[in-house]
Amino acid sequence: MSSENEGELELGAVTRGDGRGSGVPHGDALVALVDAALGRDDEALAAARAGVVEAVGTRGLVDAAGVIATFTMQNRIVDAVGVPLDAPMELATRGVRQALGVEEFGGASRTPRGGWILQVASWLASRLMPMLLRWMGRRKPKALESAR
Amino acid sequence: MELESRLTTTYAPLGARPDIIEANAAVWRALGRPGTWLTGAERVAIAAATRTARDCALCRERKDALSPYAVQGVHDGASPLSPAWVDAIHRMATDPGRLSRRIVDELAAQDTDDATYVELVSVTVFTMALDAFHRALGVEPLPLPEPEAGEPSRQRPELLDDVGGWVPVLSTRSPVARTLFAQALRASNAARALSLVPEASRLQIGLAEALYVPLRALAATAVEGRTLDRAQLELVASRVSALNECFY
Repeated sequence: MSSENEGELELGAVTRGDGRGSGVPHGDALVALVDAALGRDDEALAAARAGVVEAVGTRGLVDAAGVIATFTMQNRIVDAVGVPLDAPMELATRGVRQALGVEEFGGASRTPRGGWILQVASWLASRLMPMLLRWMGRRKPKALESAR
Repeated sequence: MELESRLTTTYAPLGARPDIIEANAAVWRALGRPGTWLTGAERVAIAAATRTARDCALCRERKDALSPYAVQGVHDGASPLSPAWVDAIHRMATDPGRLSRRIVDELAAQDTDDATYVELVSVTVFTMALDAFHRALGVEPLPLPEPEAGEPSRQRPELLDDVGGWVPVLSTRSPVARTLFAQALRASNAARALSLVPEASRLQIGLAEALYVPLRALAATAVEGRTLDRAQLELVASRVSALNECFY
């Protein structure tokens, strides 16, 4: 998968815990922060925090901490009420999920799979979704346009 | 205002945006107030039990077991809440990836209905979110709020949908849903997950917009006001989710 930032992104790095291999700028420091924040070693967390500050500054640290907090919350919400993945997202992200290896997670069983028609639709969606997301990303939200 | 002052003092040296202070204060203050189905005292007790889960010996043993229900025992920490509620809170806190419908069914068998359960979930996860934020930043966790007197509103939404989860969610035809999710291109199941208790959804959305990405910018490749770019934000999000074994 490619990003607009630089080169190719390696999705498996997310589940392997190798941020450097992800292709994301300062990915190693960011993944180290996540691992330490979710762990129990306070010294490792302090070191990881310092690494993020050195890489992206204190405001970058705040951004990262905010995402850690949000997904600490969001992960538990969806797993506590058992919501399945929405059908369009399920179709569009099968390839990504396989690359990430998340189909092995227990919660995967909540999301029903379809037959061959849906598999074809999934193949098409996985090719169209990146183009759609890039197009949508280039469109500025109306609220931001009017504020300028 | 005291809470906002405290948060400003804590976050300002780190360059945190004002909307983060506002969202975090709103959530933390709401913890101590009567909710839709729970009293202020119950909500604070849930927050306290959530914090106890982190060092619970039974939870650590269960996490290592092949099945989440293989190990029985008593959770660490005294609580005025029922053992069933404490068990649910600890499971959500320490082993969310292995939650199943059984958690809802067992509570229902003890007269805890779906909406009360959703509010219990919301208090648990909001407590964890703010504690995680503070831990990542290296600042002290917030003291629990003093419970406020008063009765819960006990207002259940009328228009509900079944999206295949363990509890119903607010129907997208509901005027309340149209207001809650007005900024979203499409209200996903994750966004609607707590909406059986609309106030919980409102706080969830406010927190996620401040700490992660605004709903209207979910599809954007860049987010205004953030130092990290979208790929970096998503790497952090994906790694957290992988460690929590969250399929969604």
